Amino acid sequence: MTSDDLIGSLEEAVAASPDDVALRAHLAELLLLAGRRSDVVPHAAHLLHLDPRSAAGRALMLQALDETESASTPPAPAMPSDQPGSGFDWRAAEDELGGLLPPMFAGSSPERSEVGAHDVESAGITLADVGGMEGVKKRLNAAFLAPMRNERLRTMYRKSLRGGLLLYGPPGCGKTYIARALAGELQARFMAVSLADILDMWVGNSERNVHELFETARANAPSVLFLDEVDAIGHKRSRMSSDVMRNTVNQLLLELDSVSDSNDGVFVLAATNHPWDVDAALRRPGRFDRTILVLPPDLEARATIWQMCLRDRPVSGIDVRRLAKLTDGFTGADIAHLCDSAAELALMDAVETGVPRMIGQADVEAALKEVRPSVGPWFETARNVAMFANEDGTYDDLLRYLRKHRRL
Amino acid sequence: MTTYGEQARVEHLLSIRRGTEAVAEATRLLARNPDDAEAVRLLALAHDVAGNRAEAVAWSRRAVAAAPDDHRAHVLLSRTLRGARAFQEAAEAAYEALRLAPGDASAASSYAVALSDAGHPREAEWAARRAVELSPTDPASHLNLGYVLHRVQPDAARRAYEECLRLDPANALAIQNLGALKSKSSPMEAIDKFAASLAVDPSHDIARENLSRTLNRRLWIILIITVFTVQGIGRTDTPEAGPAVAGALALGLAAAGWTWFRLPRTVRRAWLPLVLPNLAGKLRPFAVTGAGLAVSLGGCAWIELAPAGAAGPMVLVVAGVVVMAAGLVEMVFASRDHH
Repeated sequence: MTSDDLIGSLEEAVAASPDDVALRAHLAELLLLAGRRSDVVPHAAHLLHLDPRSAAGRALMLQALDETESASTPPAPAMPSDQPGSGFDWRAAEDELGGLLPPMFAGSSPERSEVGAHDVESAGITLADVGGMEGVKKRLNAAFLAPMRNERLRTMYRKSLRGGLLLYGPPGCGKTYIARALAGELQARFMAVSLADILDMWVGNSERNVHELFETARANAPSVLFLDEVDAIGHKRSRMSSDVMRNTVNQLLLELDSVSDSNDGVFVLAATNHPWDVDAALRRPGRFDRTILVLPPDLEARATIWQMCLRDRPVSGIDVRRLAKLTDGFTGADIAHLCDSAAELALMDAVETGVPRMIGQADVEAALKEVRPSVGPWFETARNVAMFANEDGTYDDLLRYLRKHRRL
Repeated sequence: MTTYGEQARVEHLLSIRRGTEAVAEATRLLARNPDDAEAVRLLALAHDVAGNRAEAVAWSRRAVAAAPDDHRAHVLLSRTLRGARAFQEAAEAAYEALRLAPGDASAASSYAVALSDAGHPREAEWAARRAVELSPTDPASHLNLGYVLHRVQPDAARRAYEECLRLDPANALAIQNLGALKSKSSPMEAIDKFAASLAVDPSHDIARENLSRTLNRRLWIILIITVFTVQGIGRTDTPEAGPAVAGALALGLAAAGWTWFRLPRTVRRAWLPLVLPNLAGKLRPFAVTGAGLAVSLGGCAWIELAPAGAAGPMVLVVAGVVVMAAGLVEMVFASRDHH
C-alpha cells in the first residue's frame, strides 16, 4: 500500500470516527511526513479541540504552522488567516478555540464538553440536494431566499428582512437538513444548536451563553444560526418553573431583536416539533414570524431518501419507486429505520445459511410489515391544534394537509 | 450529591414535559451519581412523565428506599401508584409524606387525591382543604380540591376550579374539569369549556374525548326525540297529523340548528371528525342502539303508510329491533369491562 493509499484509508477512518485521537494523530503524522503540512492543521486543531493540553496536538500544530507559513500555503478554513509568522501564539489559539466552545457548567462530563455548542461549519448542501418537497422549497423561496437575493425588488416592494424563520412539523422529516440546505443556498456558514447543546449551556451563565452564541454567529457572518428544538429553549414562559430558563428566553428575544436591527448577515432559523409550546413572544413580528410546515416527505423525496439509504448497502433488485409508493406517511427517519431492518433480515439470513446475500425487495417489504410510521402521535396533537388553537390561522397549512389526507 | 446544573437539566426537561429525554438525562445523572437519592427520585419522575408506569412505580419505590425521610419521594410514590391504579397503597404513601411534612401543601394535596381515588371522600376533602390553607395561592391546591369535591359537592368543586383559574387562567385541567362538571346540566357550556381547554393545551386527550362524547350525546338526543315525536304524531289518525308531523320535524331541525349555532366556531368547523370516530369507536354501542331504534321507528312509520300485510316494513322493524338489541348487549358488556 502506498503512502497516499494509507493516508486515504486513514482519512476515511477518521471521518468515520472523528474523535479517535490516536487515529487522527497518526494520520496527521503521515501527512506531515508526506509534506502535506497545510492538511495537518485542521487535524492538529481538532486534537487541541478535543484536548487543549494534548502534547501531540501542540507538536503537530507547531510543525505544521512553521512550514505552512514559510511555504505561504493558504491556511486551512478552521484556522485564522493572521497567524504570527514565527512560533505559535497559544493565547490566540486558545481564544480561537474558546470561541467555539461555550463555558460549561460545573460538573459537566468531558464527553459532553466535547460537543461543540458553537461549532461553525460549512453547509455543504443546497436545496437542490433536497429531493422532492417542492412546496417547502417554494415557501422557503418566497419567504426567505427571494427577498434576500433581490435587493432591488425588496426595496421596491418594501419587503423587510427582519425576523427569523420557524420550521415545524413531525419529528424525522428533515427540518435540520432543510435548514442546512438553506445555509448552503445563502453560501453562509451553518451553526446548529441542538437540545443537548442548549441544555449544556443554559445552566450557570445562561444569558451570557446565549449572547455568545449569537456573537459567534455574527463573527462568522454570513451565517445561519439554527436553533433546533426551539421549544426547549423558548418554551412558554408561563409554564416554566425555572427563573433561569425564563431569563434565557428573555435573552433570546433580545438577541433576535438585535439581529433584526443590525441585519449583519446572521440568519436565524429554528425548528420545532411543537410550535404550540413556543413562547408567543418568540412568534411576534420581527422574530420567528414566518413559519413553514415540513411534512413527511412526498413521493419524490421518499424515492430520493430510499436511494440515499440504500446507496452504500449491498442491494439487488430493489424497486425504489415502488418502495416510495408503499411508504406514504413515513418520515425520512422511518425510512432509514426500514433500511436497517431490511439489512438486519438479510444479515440474519446470511448468519443462518452461512452464505452472504444481497438485500432484496422482499427484505424491505418484510420490514415494512413490521414498521409503522412514527408520526401518528404527533398528528393526534396536531389535529387538536388545527381544530381548536387556530383562531388566527397560524396553522392553516397544517389544517389543509390534515383535511387532504383525511386525518381530521 | 448531584450538581445544580445536572439536576436543573432534568428538571427543565420535566417542566417542558420532555419525558423521554428526561429519562435519558436522569439515567446519565444516576450513572454518574449512583448513590444519590435525588437522582433516583428524578429518574422516577422522568419515567412518570414519559408514561412508563411500571418503571415509574419501581423507581419511586427505590427513591423512597434511598431517602425514607424525604416526603417528596413518598409524594411521588403515591402519584405513580395512583397511575398504576393501586389507590389504597397510594393513600398510604401519601399519608407517610404528610406525616413527614405536615406543613407541605403538595403532600396534603397528594393525600387528598389518593384518598379520593381510594373512595374516602370526606377525609379527602379535609386533606384538600388543608392543602389550600397551606398554600392558598397555588393553583394546584385549588384544582385538587375541586377534583376531590367533583362528584360529592359540584358547587364547591366549581368554586375551587374557578379559583384555580383566577390564579392561573391558562390551566387546561381546571377548564376541562369545569366542562366535565357542566356536561349534564349544561352540555353546550361544557362543550365550550372542553374546546377552550384544548385551545390551551392541544395535547390534552381527555378534553377531546369529553368534547366528542358530549357532542355525540347532544346530537343523538335531538335525533331520537325528533324521531319519537314524529312517530308519535304520525300514528294518530287525525287529519291534523300531517301538519303536526311537519311541525315536529321543524322543531327537531330548529333544536339541531339552535345547538349548531351555539357551538363554538372551532367545534362547528370540525364537528364531523369529532362525532364520527367516536361513533365507530368508544361510542359504538350507543350509536348502534340509536341506529337500531331509528330504523325500527322508521319501519313503524312505514307500516302506517304501507298497504296492510306488506312485508317490507315488518322486516325493517325486526331488523331495527335486532340491531338495537345488539347495541344494548354491547353496551352492557362495555360497561362491565369499564368497571
